Amino acid sequence: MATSFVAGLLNATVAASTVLIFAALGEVIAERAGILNLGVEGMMLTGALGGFITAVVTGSYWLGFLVGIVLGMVMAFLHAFLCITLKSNQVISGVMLTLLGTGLTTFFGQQWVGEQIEGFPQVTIPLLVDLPVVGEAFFRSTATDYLALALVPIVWYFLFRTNLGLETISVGEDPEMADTMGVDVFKMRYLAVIIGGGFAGAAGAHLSLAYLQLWVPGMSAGRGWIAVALVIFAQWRPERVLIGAYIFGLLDALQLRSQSLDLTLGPGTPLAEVFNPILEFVFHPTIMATYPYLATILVLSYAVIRTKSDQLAVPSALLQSYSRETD
Amino acid sequence: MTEAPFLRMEEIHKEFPGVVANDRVDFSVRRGEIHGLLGENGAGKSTLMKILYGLYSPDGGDIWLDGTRLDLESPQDAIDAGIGMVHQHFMLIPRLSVTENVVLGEREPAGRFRTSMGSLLDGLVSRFSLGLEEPADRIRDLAGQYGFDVDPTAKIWQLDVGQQQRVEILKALYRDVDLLILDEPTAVLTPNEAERLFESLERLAEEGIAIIFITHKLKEIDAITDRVTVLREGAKVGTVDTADVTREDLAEMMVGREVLFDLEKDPVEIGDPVLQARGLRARDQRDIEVLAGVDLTVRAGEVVGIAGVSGNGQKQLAELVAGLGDPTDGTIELMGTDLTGASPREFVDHDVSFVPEDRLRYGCAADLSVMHNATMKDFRQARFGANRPFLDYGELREYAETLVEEFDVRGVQDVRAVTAGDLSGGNLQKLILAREIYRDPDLLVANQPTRGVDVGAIEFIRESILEQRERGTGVVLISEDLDEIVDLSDRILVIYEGEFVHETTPEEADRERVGLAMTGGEAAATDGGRDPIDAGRAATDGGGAADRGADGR
Amino acid sequence: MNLAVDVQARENVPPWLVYGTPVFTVIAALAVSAVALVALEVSPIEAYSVMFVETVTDPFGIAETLKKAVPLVLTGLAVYLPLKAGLWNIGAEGQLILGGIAGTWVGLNVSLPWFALLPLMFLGASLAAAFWAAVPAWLRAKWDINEIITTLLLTFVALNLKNYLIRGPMQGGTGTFPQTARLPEAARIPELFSTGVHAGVLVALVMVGVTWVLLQKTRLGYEITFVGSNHEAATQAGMSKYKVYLLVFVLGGAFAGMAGISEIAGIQGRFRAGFEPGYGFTAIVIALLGRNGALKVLLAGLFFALITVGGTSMEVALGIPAALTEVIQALIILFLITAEFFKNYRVSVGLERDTSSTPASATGGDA
Repeated sequence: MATSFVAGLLNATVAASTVLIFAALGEVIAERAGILNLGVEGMMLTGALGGFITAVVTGSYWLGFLVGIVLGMVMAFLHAFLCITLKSNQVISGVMLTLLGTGLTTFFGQQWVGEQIEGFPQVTIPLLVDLPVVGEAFFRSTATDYLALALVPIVWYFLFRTNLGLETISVGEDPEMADTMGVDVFKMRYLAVIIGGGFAGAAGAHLSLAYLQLWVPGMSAGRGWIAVALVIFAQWRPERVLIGAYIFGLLDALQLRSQSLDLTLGPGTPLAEVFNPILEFVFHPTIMATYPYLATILVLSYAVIRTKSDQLAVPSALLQSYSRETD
Repeated sequence: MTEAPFLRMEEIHKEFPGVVANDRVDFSVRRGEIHGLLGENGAGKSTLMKILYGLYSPDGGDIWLDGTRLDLESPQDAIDAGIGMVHQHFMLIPRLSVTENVVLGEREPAGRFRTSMGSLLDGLVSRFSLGLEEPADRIRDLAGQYGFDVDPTAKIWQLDVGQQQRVEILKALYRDVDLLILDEPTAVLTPNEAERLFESLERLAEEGIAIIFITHKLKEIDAITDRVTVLREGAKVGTVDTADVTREDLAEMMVGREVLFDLEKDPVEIGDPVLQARGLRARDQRDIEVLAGVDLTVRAGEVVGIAGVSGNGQKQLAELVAGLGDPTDGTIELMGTDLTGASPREFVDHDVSFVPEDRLRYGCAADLSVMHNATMKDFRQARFGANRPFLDYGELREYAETLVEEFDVRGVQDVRAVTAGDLSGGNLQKLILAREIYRDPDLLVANQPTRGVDVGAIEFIRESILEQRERGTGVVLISEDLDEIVDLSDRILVIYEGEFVHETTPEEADRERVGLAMTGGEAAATDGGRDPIDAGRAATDGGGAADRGADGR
Repeated sequence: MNLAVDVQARENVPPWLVYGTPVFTVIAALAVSAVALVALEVSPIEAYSVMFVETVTDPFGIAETLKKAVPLVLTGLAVYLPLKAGLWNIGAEGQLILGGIAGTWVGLNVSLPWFALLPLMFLGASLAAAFWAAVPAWLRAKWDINEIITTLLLTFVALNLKNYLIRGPMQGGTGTFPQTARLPEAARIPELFSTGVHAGVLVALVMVGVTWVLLQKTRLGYEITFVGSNHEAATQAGMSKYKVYLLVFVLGGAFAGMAGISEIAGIQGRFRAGFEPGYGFTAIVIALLGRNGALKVLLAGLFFALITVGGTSMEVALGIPAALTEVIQALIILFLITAEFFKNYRVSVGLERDTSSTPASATGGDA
């Protein structure tokens, strides 16, 4: 039945999007402050394993979630120190942290494969869950799913309606100007990166404690990179992160349901032989998995080429380290 | 009536590697005074003010404000002390609104959250909310009070340049400053806008705010300052009451009268035009016009000296005729060939040489060897292996060594091991000059060739330019050093605000008049400047129109 | 009394710091990893001796190392060359994969004797990978679009394309396994003198030589070096930044493509969907370690091949997860970055008696 297919798809989409929402929101904050964090994938895995181990040992998934966040923040602190204080290349530092996170978690995580935990249970919101089609998808989720959703308006409010948010944006646009206005550029950048890392750790912990409820080395499967792409796709705006996460999550969910999908034209339709192979290719789930990346490249190119420099969505000082006495 | 100075900077000293930016400078300002700070580029005005604003820390000296000694470690300290600064290059975030830009750093909480229930709660509230409504109202009030026309909710990128500058000023006014520093504020304003700015400044001064006004334009000093301090080469020349001096006096203080060298200049037969540029116009990144229709002809064997204070369009002119960037209007012809809009490579191939003002940025690759830097324009020539697959590095090395020897570049033991960045300023400039001259160009464009160079190298560089002139090269010499222009040029042009405003020769040059033209005095002569001597001149000369930008002898 | 940390930019870098850095970073990385080993109750000495000593003294170990070095050195070059021009090629993995696919396709579908087929496969691989690298290069050259992001994202696109092709149109052989058919004998890279090492080693060595000659001896190499050092001065001197950017990426991509096909045709024998070796990221480390010369890239590649092979034997012998090699790689990068900082700045820590003016930093200048 079409509606149950759609409902199932929606359910899977919403579930898949949470990890992306956590990670991308955190990365938005960090990049708004001018620091690119390519270590999200590594922080995610660290949060996932750390949270998982904590849950196995203590039996508390909430404690595990907290541990995941803290571990993400610790790794992010290292990134902040390298990039802000030592003024190192942000790309290298981020890639290094991903390698480190992936390597360490695979190394230490072998022994935890196959362990069972009691993860986050589904929490139903009465009445709303009975809405047709959308009810099951949105209102029967884990606590962390709801948390991620709640964080979208919170991050939006933080960035655009608070003084700290204004200062965060300013150090990512023009750190020199912010400095002359008395903003503590170093402190704001450190905070932004560490908070971003906490979000990445939360994404990982959600992955192992709520979404999949297991641990396997490399289980993030590139979601960290998708989150980085998502930030660009969303033009550094929290509300667009939500939409983008759903789109990317949808593509992810579609991949698993490829067999039930038949998007080709019927044999009677004119030019079916010409279009069908093309349609098959375009809607092939593996090919669809590339669309988030291609879309991001297109969005980025558009943003850079077509927009006047003072209206670029990209934080103007992204990737630039700041030092007061340089010309 | 004497008044104890409100601001007192004593024996301020600041050095950077290779240069003394402030040489034990004393500077004081009274309350309610508009005090001009005059000097050429590199004189030390910006550094002194950056120290006052907490951006730099001085190597020596003290700052006293209203009797209290200040210890400024960051701009926040300066703001807390009541010092505000309006920067020449706007410090505004285009994406944010006027109010957001003005309020940044103040951490005012949103109106409905205002509490007075203890500092901890206040701190949290101010961090986690953003007050925009009350500040917007206050900005509207301030703007009205001083005659600014600014909508607090507009985004910066929507405003024009004049309005953006007013936002810069509002940033300071909003914080109840006692002392306001303005760094070359009229550089981006139309004359009308400048007038209105001056009116506002006078109103501010009436309310007791001390104002420091940095400029290199004499007419502005005349227009609003009470006193003026002149800096030159890092040291203070003097402080005078504006009413007691003429523009000529100020020009002299700013520009100096020392004749350092006695150069032998042989007469040379001047040949056909090498460069013919007509109607050149250019804009900078802020889309402000910096060249307003310039004609320039240079003949073989002729040195055309362009005098002017940095920032009047020389840099763009130099880059255009050397091949970097395209003019928005106008044509460039080299030895009869039209090269308007051509690539840098074509200019190089047509024997144009360029000694840029920013030698580290455009003139050399600091991490690469002397050999690389010596050959960067000529490595494609046949003698280095153009017709063979490999570059003849042996030849490159020899070429570099020849240059080093003939141009007395010191500190180079091995042209392959020593990098351009290892050389001192003077030796690097000699290397760059060597590279540009040795290829025997038709046109040589030299922008500030002796700036930041030690005395011995200066003499060598100037003589090299004269020698090249004898070989028939046409030279465009741009310099802030009037002596250099007078000693080396066959013709002298003065550039001001993107136009040539005066033309003369070394024999006929009236040092003071040139100095005046450099600082806008000449232009003011035609709009009836306030200086009585000047008004007299305007009457007898028939104005400067006959001297403007003309060329075509 | 205050603790004062004074950071000053260095004017000269002492030679011991320049040359010693790669050595120090490796030692430091090994030392820190030793901690992880101890946490697993394994003696670091025992583990490292298996990893290094045993691998090097065993002919099989040497052969394995050399074979592993081939793609590592080639992808190292793929990152190294653009780096010389000041650009980051983070997409070597994707270029490697697509090159491998293109080369495999040629090997499966073209019948020619081996001496013609193999070069054709390498050519196909190079062209496909070069094209994949040229796209981000063009975006950067023409519109200044950050190549870090574009090369990275295209890597993931390439991986998905690979999955599609291998499980779909290029699927072959017996059964429905996600892999291509076996490459015919003529499409396999022959072994060198029964050493157990395939001739891809020669390709790698030749490409190291080509890179070295290109950079040290040709006009193009001169321009690449100049553009990489200061592209504004290079433009002023008449050099074409656009041309240089495109060429280094096209060549770098070609190297990565060669790495891909040499793995498939030299070792794997067929393209399996699971082939995602991750050399592209290791290549970044190799290029950074070998920053000053193609020969150093070769050495760095050999070193990483050694620890990769050693890591596997460590896993077999002592049960330690081979992921430790990833950790060591990451730590090497970490210490490299830290060393970079100390190369550029001199830090002195001291005690300060009074609280007046802080020491001025030495960078900066007057407008």
